[in-house]
Amino acid sequence: MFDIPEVMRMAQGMARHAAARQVVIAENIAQSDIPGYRARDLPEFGKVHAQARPMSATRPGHLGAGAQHQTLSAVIDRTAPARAPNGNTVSLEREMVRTAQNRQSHDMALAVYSSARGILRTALGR
Amino acid sequence: MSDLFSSFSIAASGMEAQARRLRHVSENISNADTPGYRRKTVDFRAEIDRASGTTQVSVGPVQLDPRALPRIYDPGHALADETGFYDGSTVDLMIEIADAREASRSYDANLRVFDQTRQMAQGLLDLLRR
Repeated sequence: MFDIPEVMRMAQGMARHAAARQVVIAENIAQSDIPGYRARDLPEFGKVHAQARPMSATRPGHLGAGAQHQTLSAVIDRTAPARAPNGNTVSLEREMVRTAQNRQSHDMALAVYSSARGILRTALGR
Repeated sequence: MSDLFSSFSIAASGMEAQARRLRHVSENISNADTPGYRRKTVDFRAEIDRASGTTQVSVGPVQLDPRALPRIYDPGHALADETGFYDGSTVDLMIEIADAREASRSYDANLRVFDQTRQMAQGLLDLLRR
């Protein structure tokens, strides 16, 4: 029973990560014609989540107790396949793949969240 | 949710920039035969939006093609000088068409992102309704 809020928190984090990644993808696509722009990407949610395990804080005043909402910073994507003659490394096709993946993980996060909420509701008998 | 909203404005800035480019392309094409016309181009710049911390696209000022105007020989033309030549325009239709294709492809990509972001926001709102 008490595991469910943890699942919901994880789903929340995943949805937030997907939204942040959508911003990075939108920036890449919007700047696909700017000379010298390097494509960027966020690290995957799995990695971020593994690193973001909060230190055990036994009192609310402990450092790191509120570190759930760390902000992600986008890094330059070094795996970009080719550079255009003007120095731009955005590939629209790759960005399309990323938006599709991102959409999937956002949908998955929302599905997990709503089904956890359904279980919680059933447990409360409503 | 605010991340999704800033995706909207980023995609919109991209569409706006590409639309401006397409506008100048169509001006160039319609003036391809205007004597003395210089091809107009705009360049894109990355602009950081301070409110949301995101990078948007803005369009720089219009630049005119600095190349010399081609001299066209047509003694019967109203603007021809005593040697029979007049100044043509620097527009090359092939380049304009290629530029238009590229602009519309980028516009479509931005539009796709916009639509996808809209669907993600919709999914989030649907959670509230249930």
